[in-house]
Amino acid sequence: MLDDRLQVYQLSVVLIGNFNPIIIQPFWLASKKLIREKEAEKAKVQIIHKEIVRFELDWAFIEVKKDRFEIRTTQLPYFEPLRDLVAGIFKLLTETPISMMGINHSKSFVLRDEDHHYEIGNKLVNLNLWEESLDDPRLFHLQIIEHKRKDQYPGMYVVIIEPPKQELNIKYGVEIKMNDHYELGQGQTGRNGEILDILEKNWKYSSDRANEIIENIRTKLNF
Amino acid sequence: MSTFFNLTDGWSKATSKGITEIEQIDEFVKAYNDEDHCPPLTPWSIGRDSNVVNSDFERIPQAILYRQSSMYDNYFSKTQRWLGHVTSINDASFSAVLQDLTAGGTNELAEFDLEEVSDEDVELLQKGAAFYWSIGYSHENGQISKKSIIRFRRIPAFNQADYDEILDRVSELKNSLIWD
Repeated sequence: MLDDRLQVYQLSVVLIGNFNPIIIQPFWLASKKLIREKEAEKAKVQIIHKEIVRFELDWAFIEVKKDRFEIRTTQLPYFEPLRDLVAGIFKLLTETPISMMGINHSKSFVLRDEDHHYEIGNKLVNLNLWEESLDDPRLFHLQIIEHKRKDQYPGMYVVIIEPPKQELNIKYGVEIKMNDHYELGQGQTGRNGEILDILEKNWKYSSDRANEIIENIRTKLNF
Repeated sequence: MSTFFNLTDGWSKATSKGITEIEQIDEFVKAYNDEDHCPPLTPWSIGRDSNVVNSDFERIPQAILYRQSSMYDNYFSKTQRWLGHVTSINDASFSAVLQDLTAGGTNELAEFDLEEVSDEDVELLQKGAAFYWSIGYSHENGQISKKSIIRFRRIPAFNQADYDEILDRVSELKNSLIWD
């Protein structure tokens, strides 16, 4: 069933490791058939330099620094292609050490009206506690951390609740972000595809868990 | 270090397409992969030395300033997604079995016109090939339109390690079978 209140769903994959940014550029991706030739031609390249590479495809933004790789999209049809692209890149760059990964889900919702907006903040944090000290207190940003992951992987899970991005022009809304963060296990070097293995095996789990958390909180907050 | 979003919207320097000597990059990647340990990342060398590249970068005459487009200028809402596998190909269409990635449930069968396949994906169309099909509302610079998108799956060809892994799995499976 499609969701009327959901406005934008953004997905990103962030990898921490030791990268050589200059390799990962549009024409190299096309030459390896990981993206279409036309996509490489139309890519909006902001910078290609040994320290940083940053460009946009029609459907994704990619930034590579020496210690950080990030790809993100707000275009739902490309969520799986995004995963395939990350997996494809690092299957070719097999020796790249990757020590951490975040699969980040972010959903922005439209709320009914101002009262509903206030009510959600008040349910998440008891704003009455602040009324003596602050004039008209409001919730701005909330971060909840699960220190130990539910599955067998080292890492953590972080949920952030905050107002949606201004560019979306949502008058009353809320953005829920989830950082599904993975780290290497003891004795792992990150050079044997350990993190990529998690990406491929846990992709559906990550998405299902993000959606389950969001639906649970939406039910409790009545939106 | 955080693996969370790093939104870096803002003003950036735009350059030309940069390095395009794919063969040289390939040579570099090969050497990079062959190293027992990750080589020093600077200075990099793929046929030019870092000083030249740095000065090239600084002297690019057509460098312009433009605002990085916001991810929120173009997005999809209310989108249904499927993973498809091609089962047969005819003169003007192909058939596929579809797995619903949005709502789950049982597999579905569908037929698509070949005209719906993008030119550069035609070479990927073959029996058994995987593709993604989505129908949703595209928001592009404020314009909303309903779109159907077919994109064939792009993954690198199998290498020796992949074959070895498959053989290991087959072996494990074979050993786990109990014959009556």
